[in-house]
Amino acid sequence: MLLRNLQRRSPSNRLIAGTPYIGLLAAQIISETATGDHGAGLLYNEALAQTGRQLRVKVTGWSGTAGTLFVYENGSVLVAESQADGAFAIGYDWEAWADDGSLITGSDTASVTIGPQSATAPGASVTGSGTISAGSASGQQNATAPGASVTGSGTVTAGDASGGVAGDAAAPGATLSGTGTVNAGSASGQQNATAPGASVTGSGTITAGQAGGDADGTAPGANVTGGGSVAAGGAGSATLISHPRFIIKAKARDYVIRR
Amino acid sequence: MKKDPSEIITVTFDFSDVATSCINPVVSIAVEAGRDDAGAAAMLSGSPQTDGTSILQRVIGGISGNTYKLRCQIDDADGERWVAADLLDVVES
Repeated sequence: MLLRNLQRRSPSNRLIAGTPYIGLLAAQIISETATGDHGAGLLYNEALAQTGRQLRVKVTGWSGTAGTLFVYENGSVLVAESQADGAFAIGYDWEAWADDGSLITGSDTASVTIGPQSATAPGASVTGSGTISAGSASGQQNATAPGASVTGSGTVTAGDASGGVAGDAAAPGATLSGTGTVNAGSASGQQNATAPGASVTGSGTITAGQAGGDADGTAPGANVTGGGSVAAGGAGSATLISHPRFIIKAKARDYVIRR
Repeated sequence: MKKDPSEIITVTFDFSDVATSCINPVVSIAVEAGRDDAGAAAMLSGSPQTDGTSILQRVIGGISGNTYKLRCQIDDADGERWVAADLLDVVES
């Protein structure tokens, strides 16, 4: 039989009478916060490691610059819409009751990226002369047009992706059987512009777009059976970094005419 | 400034004392002293990049023993045009 030390003081230095509750059971946290609208809650990882225990969270830092951050008891997070786009950090302490009645504590940091969702046009199909654009994505999002298909003279473009390292501008599995265009768009930063598995059976063009920074423009597995073309796009040049040994400084001259 | 013919360097033209922005940068290179070098222009690798009030240009190659003049022209936001220039000695280490 497990006996808890009910005379232990709580973190706020108050005696606890009866069964001490400091938060929610790990199983409840796991079931409620494993998959939120934008990822798991703050306590999800800790709950996985503290099976059968109660946990609670205390926010210690928030690098957001506008709006409010609200953290629920189960560790799920709500960020006000007034917060500008960007990557932010939530610092937090967590506590769990151990089986012997003592507190297990830890600190962690969660990353939150605020910005538009992925711009996608999955399974997009153009049979006339129209245009489908997946739009543009920033942050670590993707701009993709997976499975896009053009059978007429229209255009499908995956739009542009920019920002972090995780987002690509891609048109995977794009097929072109007419004279139209499938464009994987352009990618900047450390992104890739790709058109994997692209296929041209007509006289149209699939281009993997332009990649900037250190990324590549690629069209792996591209297949052309008609008179069309698949272009891998261009790879950008690396960002140059100044070196103090090779600095040429423009000198200010005196152009004031005095009596 | 000195570089070995094999070195690939980034030259920075700093206009911070005279301009608030750098528009339409034009970087050129020409032999100032030494042997004729028909490929001097090819020493400028890639396009110049703007970083605030600085222009960065990658420079490669060169004939050992030659002195080259590196020149960068930019337009300021208020219509002024500025030039920064210096000599680059190519010397084999």
